[in-house]
Amino acid sequence: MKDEAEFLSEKVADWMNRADGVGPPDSEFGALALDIFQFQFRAIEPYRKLCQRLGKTPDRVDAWQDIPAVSTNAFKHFCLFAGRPERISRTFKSSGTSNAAHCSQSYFSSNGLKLMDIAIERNAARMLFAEGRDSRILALAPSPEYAPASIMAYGMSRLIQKYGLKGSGFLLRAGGMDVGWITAALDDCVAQEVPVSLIGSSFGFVNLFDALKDAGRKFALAPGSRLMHAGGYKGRSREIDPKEFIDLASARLGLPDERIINLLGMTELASQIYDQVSSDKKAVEASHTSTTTRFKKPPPWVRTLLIDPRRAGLDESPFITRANQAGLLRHFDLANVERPLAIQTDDLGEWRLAQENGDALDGRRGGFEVLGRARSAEPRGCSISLEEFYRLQPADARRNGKEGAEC
Amino acid sequence: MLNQVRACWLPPQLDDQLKRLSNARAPLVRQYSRDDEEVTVVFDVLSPNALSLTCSFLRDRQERVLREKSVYDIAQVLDLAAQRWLDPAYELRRQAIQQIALITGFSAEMVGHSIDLEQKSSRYPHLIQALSSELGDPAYLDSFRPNRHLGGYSRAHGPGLIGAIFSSNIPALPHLEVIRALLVKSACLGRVSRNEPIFLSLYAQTLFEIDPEIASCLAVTYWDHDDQSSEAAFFQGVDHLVAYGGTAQIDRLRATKPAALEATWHGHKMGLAYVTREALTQDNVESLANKISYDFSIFDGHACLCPQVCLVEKDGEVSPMAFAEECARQMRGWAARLPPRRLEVSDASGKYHLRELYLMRESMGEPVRVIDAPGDLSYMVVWEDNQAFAASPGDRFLKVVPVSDVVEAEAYLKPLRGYLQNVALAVPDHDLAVYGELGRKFAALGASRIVPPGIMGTPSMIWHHDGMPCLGRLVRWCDYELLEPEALLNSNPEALLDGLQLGDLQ
Repeated sequence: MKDEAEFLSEKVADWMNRADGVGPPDSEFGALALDIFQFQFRAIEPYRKLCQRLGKTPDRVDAWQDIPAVSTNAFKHFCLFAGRPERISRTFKSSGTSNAAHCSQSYFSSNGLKLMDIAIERNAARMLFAEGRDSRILALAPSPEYAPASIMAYGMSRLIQKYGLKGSGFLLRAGGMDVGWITAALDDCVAQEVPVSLIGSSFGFVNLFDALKDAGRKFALAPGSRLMHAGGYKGRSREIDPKEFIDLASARLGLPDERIINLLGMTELASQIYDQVSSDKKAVEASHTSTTTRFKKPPPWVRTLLIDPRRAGLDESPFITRANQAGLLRHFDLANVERPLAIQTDDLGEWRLAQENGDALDGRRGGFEVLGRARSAEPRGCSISLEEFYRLQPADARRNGKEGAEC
Repeated sequence: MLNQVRACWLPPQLDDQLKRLSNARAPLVRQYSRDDEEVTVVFDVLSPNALSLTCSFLRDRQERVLREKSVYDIAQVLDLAAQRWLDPAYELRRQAIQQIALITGFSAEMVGHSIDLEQKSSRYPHLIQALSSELGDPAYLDSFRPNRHLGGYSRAHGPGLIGAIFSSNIPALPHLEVIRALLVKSACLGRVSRNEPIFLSLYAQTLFEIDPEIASCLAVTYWDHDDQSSEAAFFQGVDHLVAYGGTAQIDRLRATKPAALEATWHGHKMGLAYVTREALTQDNVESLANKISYDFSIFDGHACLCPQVCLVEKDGEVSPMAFAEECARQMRGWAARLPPRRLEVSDASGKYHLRELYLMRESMGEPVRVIDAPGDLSYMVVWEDNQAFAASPGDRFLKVVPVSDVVEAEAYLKPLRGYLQNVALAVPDHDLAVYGELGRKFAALGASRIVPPGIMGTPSMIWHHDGMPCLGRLVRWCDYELLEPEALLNSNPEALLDGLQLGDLQ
């Protein structure tokens, strides 16, 4: 007999398979989100307790926007999984933190993985492979075999399996980046005129572009090729702004800028959010930046809101509705049936595309731009920041009595 | 309001000299905005050549002006400056409050309060006492003076030029280094922080109003921290470096400064409050909580001397939990009297996530209680039983941790070794034995200042800042010995010294 998680997951999967364009209306999204919230309230103990502490129990929440969001911090301390621990078949961990004891952990049952697979495939079909043309997918990332806890590696392996032509695969091995091997793989694609989809981490690409520059190499990838990058820099390459990334990718790989897109993915979410690149004249004029405009466009089964944390604990609405005003991204992901669907991030974002009255077009009709991580401004002077203090501590002093969350 | 201000200050004579140098300076314009207000700050960025010329100019002024002045006259001028800054009607003070509040986000009340705290301890008696404490006699800076310990004469010389690199975490602090430099008769070249570039130039204007000659021994400038050629010219031109900043900044400066350049470092430090069970009674819980809450509120918890945590001994008349509850009431009062800084969204994010996490930990039955955490994030009071030490994120985060005794506290505080600076210690009145025992423990952990609660934010000028004699370490001594060391072994050295008839050597 199906349990409730399976039942809800099937409903969400069905919904995803039907979704196209902006997807079904808010009311339909809201009804399903509230059903999932009711289930999660019962099934995820730390979440239930938080909702009770905040006085936001299912009987008092009647709009999806009011579903209590869980701070990404909580994934570092608590097991946020709806189900018995023995049903967990996969655990993903966040990377890039200087403190291994404080990484986010995200738990999936086999059923949850299936739902994530559908989310990954449906989303890629509409945002990455919209023209339906298959390509050789080369992932500038370690394979799941080498990085079993990386949700990014998992997602890329799904894309390779679903959409990759023969010759697709991962370009990084245990030893790191072998530039000779990568250029040979790209040379082969160029020689055979096979379109390539290069996917990988942003910092990996920056390191690759630097290496290609040193080697004096440039490629003219076949028409239909593309590049998708994700994950930011995390101090593992030099940091560059999005425009410079596009310029470097164009220069080294011969890709037009609308074929270079960024993906927002998080260990805490089962869905990802792609750049929508548009050369729509009106949108370009509004962006004032280049010949194309780009913003993050959530898939129909994800809603994103922007909150002002200074208002979040007060009675007034914390939501930012004006364009070009910074706030924190809060995602509502229906593919998170087993983990809290409402996630409060510390990513700073802004709505792009204003309506004539100055209000922003929200994630359904417009999109947002990620401005970076919100972190307390650099430690000022002789006081010390939390982050810096942890960095200065020996590893054994860092463990706050725990090795992250355990289920 | 003035919407354009200058962040740098140069003596007029130097200004004239720089005009004759080509490409001596380039204005750097920065906008600072907060909510609907905006201020434009113009920085005078000097070229490396101009910085070198500035150093020569300041050295020359030091020789002509400071070397010729009595240290007591210099202290009088600094005292007059402090008096002006303590006057609520003083125009430059009003400007500073308005502009620093806008640039840093600190409330105007807090900026004004900081100015008061800093200037109140910068009066003539404080300056003279600080010199006496570290040099024995301030007059050693004016001439060879009899030194009876030595059996001869001693004289102290400050460096020709002190270079100072400032931080921004305490509004209105940078004048402290200018005072220290001038007290040892050194000229001073200051590089302000881009996050609080205003105060020092205004202070220099005050000195100029009172004594243009003394003010001509001071220059305030700016360069970006990655501008290596300017930094090299600065290092080359100064005799002693005083630097404030975070670990990365201090490490970088340590690595890049010339090996021979002497330096005083004021890097990351942390404070704490410790309440003994004997000091916490029903009668004084309110006043003690008020003082501790004040210590957690000043500078919004962003100064090195601010407490990171409040350790409270268990099993007293008032429990640590009840004390935390009283602290919450007092924190609310201080938030009204000295409003907290306006948080940017990115600063507020950290506080928001921390609040959520504590609420969740509490509801999950962890030994944590969120005593008060207003949704406007103005402050937060939590009680947390014996967890591993974690540094405070600042912005008025008061954490009460119950402890059995000081031995447990020592274990808890171990990670602070190397960072501990100020300790507010609540012990019963006049109980010197308890004071002594705890004082020894905290001194052994590295503390450099122990005070009763309520005055953490007002260190005296006499305090050995970060454990150092900050005036004493600047000077070079010349001793004029008239006796062989054996003479002091004489059966009556006093008579021998009297016989020398040591008078002033002019």
